[in-house]
Amino acid sequence: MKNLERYSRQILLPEIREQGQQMIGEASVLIVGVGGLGTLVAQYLAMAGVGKIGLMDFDRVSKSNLNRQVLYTEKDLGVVKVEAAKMRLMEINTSLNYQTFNEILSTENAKDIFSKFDLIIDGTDNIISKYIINDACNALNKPWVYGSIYRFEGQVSVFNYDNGPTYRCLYPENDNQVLSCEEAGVVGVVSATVAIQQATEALKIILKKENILSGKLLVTNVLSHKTAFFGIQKSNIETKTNKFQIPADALILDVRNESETPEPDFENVLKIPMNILEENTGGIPKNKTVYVLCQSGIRSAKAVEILKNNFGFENLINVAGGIFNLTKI
Amino acid sequence: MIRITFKYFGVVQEATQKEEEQVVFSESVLSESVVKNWIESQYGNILTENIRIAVNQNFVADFNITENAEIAFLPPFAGG
Repeated sequence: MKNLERYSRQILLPEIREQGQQMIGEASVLIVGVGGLGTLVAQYLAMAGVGKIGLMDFDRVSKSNLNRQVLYTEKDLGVVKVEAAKMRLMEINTSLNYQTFNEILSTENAKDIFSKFDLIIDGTDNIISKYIINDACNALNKPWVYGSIYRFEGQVSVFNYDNGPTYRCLYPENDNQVLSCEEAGVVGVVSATVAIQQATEALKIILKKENILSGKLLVTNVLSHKTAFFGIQKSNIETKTNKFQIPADALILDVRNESETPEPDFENVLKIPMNILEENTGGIPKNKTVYVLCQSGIRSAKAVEILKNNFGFENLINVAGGIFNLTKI
Repeated sequence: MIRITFKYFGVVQEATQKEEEQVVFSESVLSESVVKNWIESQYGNILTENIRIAVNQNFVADFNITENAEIAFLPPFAGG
């Protein structure tokens, strides 16, 4: 076996041995979203020797990432995330096969990319992406390791493992009213806690171990040090798609901060961040429909309320579900 | 009498300002709507549709409780 010395400490474990290390070396794992969760999962899987590692993300490294996204440094600012992550992983372990996908996860590309890997890791920061991962994995019969954060709490589970429950068995309703890290705030140690739990489940799945977190939701609160498990029953929920459709020439009012990505793929976009919205309402037309947009649909709903109640706008429509739920007619 | 331990997570914990609390109900059977009405009477309309309810650490579609139990409210998380 190649690299015997590199992996010697983990090969010592009776649960791994050389046979387990070979299973790790032959495994292929795709990490969707190379942010707070994904960077750390990628780092530990690369150190453990996972043979093929896929990195998927549309974004570039920004300064606000550096409090938690462990593969990036100040010299990576502005660099495409999957490229910066790959460079750093190559410094850690050159012997692995890294594949990068610099694109936004969508129902159109998910199945094609996922089919190249055995296991999918959720490092995404929005609820729509979790449903896309779930439905693609369901269609391809592949397991995925779910991880999510709300402030000082984390949720982890393994879905679609050995015909087990899926994310829709846990959360069937896709109402999109859930805050992302950009909106709720996050500190690096919480991402790390959740990511380590995800990476551990990934290795257990690769090594075909018992006690996989399938059919169970693990909830951790780092402030109180309380952890809890909740049983998830398999249910037969139909796949719903409720994308928010608007015309290609529609006028969009984007109330996100300048640093937030991706950019909406529309011609007519008016950008007025939420914090300066009330001083800058003059440029917003009142005589045509304006679609108000943010990351998840929560701030934009507030913006619609403020503009309607305080400035008399009657022509505004909130894009429920935010940018990831938006599509052209 | 039924003693219920309520456990709150995520935005529900923020709305209640509590991780957990114990409440004694005089009813002999507790339906989901009785429990939801009690939460609403204490904290207002905080239970949005996407919040899953677990009874004794298991998610259930609907429930009727006849003895002491733990009821947990888990909203979806999205951060990553």
